[in-house]
Amino acid sequence: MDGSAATQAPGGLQRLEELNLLSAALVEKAGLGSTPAHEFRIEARMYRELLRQTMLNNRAQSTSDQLPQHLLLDMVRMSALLHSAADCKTGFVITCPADLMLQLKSQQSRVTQGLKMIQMMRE
Amino acid sequence: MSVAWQQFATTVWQIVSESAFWVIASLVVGGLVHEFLPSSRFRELLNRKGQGAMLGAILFGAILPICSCGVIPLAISLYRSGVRLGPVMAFAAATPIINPAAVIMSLALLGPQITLAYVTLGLVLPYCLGLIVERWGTPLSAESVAETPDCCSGTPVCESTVTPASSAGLVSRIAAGLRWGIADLGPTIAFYMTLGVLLAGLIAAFLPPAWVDSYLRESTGTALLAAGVFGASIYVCAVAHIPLVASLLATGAAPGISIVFLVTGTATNLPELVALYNTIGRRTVVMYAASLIVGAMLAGVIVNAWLLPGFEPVFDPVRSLDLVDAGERLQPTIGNVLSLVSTAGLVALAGFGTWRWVALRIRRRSTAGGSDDSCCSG
Repeated sequence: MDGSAATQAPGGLQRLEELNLLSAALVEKAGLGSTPAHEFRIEARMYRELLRQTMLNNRAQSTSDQLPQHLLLDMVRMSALLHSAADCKTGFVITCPADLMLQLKSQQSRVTQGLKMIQMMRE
Repeated sequence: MSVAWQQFATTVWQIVSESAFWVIASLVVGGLVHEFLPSSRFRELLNRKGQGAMLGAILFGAILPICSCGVIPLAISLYRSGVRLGPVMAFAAATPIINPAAVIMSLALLGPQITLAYVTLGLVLPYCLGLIVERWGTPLSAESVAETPDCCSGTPVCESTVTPASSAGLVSRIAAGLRWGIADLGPTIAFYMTLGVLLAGLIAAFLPPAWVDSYLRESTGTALLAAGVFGASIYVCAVAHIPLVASLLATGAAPGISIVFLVTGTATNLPELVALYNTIGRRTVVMYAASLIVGAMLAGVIVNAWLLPGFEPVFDPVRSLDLVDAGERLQPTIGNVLSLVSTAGLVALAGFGTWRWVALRIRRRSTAGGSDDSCCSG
């Protein structure tokens, strides 16, 4: 493992934590029933692009420093759910059906748990 | 307003606003189909004996990005134009279940095994369903077409089942087709859809989501049936439904349950069933819904036997995200303004349809000789 990879690995995890905060905020906004649809869509897109960038950076790491695939896949699912939520509009605001809200919250807690596990393992 | 009624209002709005554009577009195309198809050679092709028409209807349906509400006018206009019941119902089932965007999304989020099961089921189930309704359903006979105007006075959708004249000019034929689609068929479809949408809204409002969620995580026969019945009653489009199914799968749902929920959820919904029940025929629609649920359940059992125990979809996250992007790009998006205009149009059609339905009932009561059963029902 070279020095650069060692310094990049915590960066990747930190980026995932930031993304987790962003998705948590978006899940909350989806449940409010008053979030402007265009604003939500832009933030959901931002989440996806940052996730893509993080995953591409992660690919460049050595195998031992890479972030777990299952966590990244969970975040890909989170991104797809957020995009579905962005399509649930009542006029110009986001209003999610109950089943989608339930899955958004469940996926969000799954990602948070996964991140906690990795932090504990790295500590 | 309580949470349940808020949920009811949200669900009703969402179904109407998401499907409105496709229903209106389908009414326009359906009107043209009704005007031009009966006199064209294409109808003969669709009515030819053998399985070619059924396979053609399924493959054509599988490339259209239309949801289960949007397909109703098109299916009814094909039926009213004299196309065989089997290909019509196979088309009505295949169109919402499967489309290129949904297949790509499934590959991205559910993995290759479930996608293989989904595509196979999306093609085989409509075919079986078409065979079943063609054998035991109620076809639109030539006699009933000829007799319809007398028995159905006041319900223009039935009056127009008579084969249109092909001698008129092109512009007047287009106008006649649009008039049939929008003014005759539109209010009838919108009225029956409204009943289904209200029912779907009540289910969404009063069925606890946690109860559904816990049922979807089991793999028993009862859970498969619950997934099938619940899936058949809710309104979802395939592309938007797949992330939800993927999340369920990731949190422990059996792959068989996922496939049942995915296929029945996208194939049909209460607004569609109520509209078809009152226009194509009761026996046909009961058979259609029952075959769909039972067929999906059987497929669920087979998928569980194939993939359980120890199934976990594994794929490259970057590739998965790229595929999700590609799937979403393939799915046409309707702008806010167009969506609101279409919603207003559909609501107006529903209002007109309701008024027409009430007026017909009052007229029947006042004449006191009429039967309550509409000849529009099978």
